[in-house]
Amino acid sequence: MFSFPGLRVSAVLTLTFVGLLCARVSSAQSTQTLTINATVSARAELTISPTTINFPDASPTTTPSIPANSTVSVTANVRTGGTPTLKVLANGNLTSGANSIAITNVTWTASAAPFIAGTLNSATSQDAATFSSGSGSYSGVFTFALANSWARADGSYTQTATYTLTAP
Amino acid sequence: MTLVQGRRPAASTSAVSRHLITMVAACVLGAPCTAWAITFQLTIAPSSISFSDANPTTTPTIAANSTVAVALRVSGASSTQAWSVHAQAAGDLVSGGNSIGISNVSWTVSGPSGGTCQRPCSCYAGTVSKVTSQVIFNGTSNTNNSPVCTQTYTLVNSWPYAVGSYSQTVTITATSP
Repeated sequence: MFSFPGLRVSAVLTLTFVGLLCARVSSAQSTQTLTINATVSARAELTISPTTINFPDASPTTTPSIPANSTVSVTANVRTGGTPTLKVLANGNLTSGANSIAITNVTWTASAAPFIAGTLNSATSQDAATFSSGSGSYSGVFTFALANSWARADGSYTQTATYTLTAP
Repeated sequence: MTLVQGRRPAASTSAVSRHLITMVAACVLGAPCTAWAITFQLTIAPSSISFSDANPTTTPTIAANSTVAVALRVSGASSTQAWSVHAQAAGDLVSGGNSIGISNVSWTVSGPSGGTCQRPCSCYAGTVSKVTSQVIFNGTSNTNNSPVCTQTYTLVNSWPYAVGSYSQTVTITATSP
């Protein structure tokens, strides 16, 4: 059929054109790339509630250890590549005017890991939790008690303690 | 003889032309080549977005630093030819050995705007997936200019995320079935 050179060229060109058009069938799409970046930095957030507890008066004979009027809920949120720490340091003994009760008479227990039990101290920070390395969110409950004694002077005693959460 | 010889090329030219026209028509009308004419001009801007660090307690959802405009111009489509734009992540957000699930990234959407579709078309909100491509935009037939879906990306924030600078790519593709 293609016995004429001019027609052969036209046919080849036309077939090539058709071939190119058909080749576009498989490439009828367009693609773009979106890059998503996110930054996560070290930070720490500590919440305790309530921030005040009270030990009511009680007979040392019948109540050698006075529970606080409330437990203390604690939430520690940390983002870190290291090992977080939670420490507590009392700012002195319980005082009432010139009288005092050693702060080491105040102890606490913890509901569950990573929080731990301990004794308040005004000289050395005490660990209140033992965390594993890395980021996390932890919640627990501290239950405080005061060792009772007949030797205490009458009075209304008070003191503060500072909790410090660190995300190195 | 001279006249016969003179007609043969004319007859052959006509036959070849008919044949070629038939081939082109077959290609145009045949199933494999039904969509051969459709073309897409897909653009996204910007091509990179970032989520800043934030306190998960006060900022449980972080907005990206910018919205993303996905613009698509469709031409050469038939009045019934469907098309769609999909997105699929190459993986989770990664930072060294740490990762944040890419499904924590989602988007809301407004539009289409800035152009019109000759047939109904829609932009869709969704959640980024590394497993299944998610529909961003779809419609039928051509567009006038380049209608834009404007996406607003957010990242679910969480305290357990490990510290680091995370990154991942999302491939956005316009196709016609």
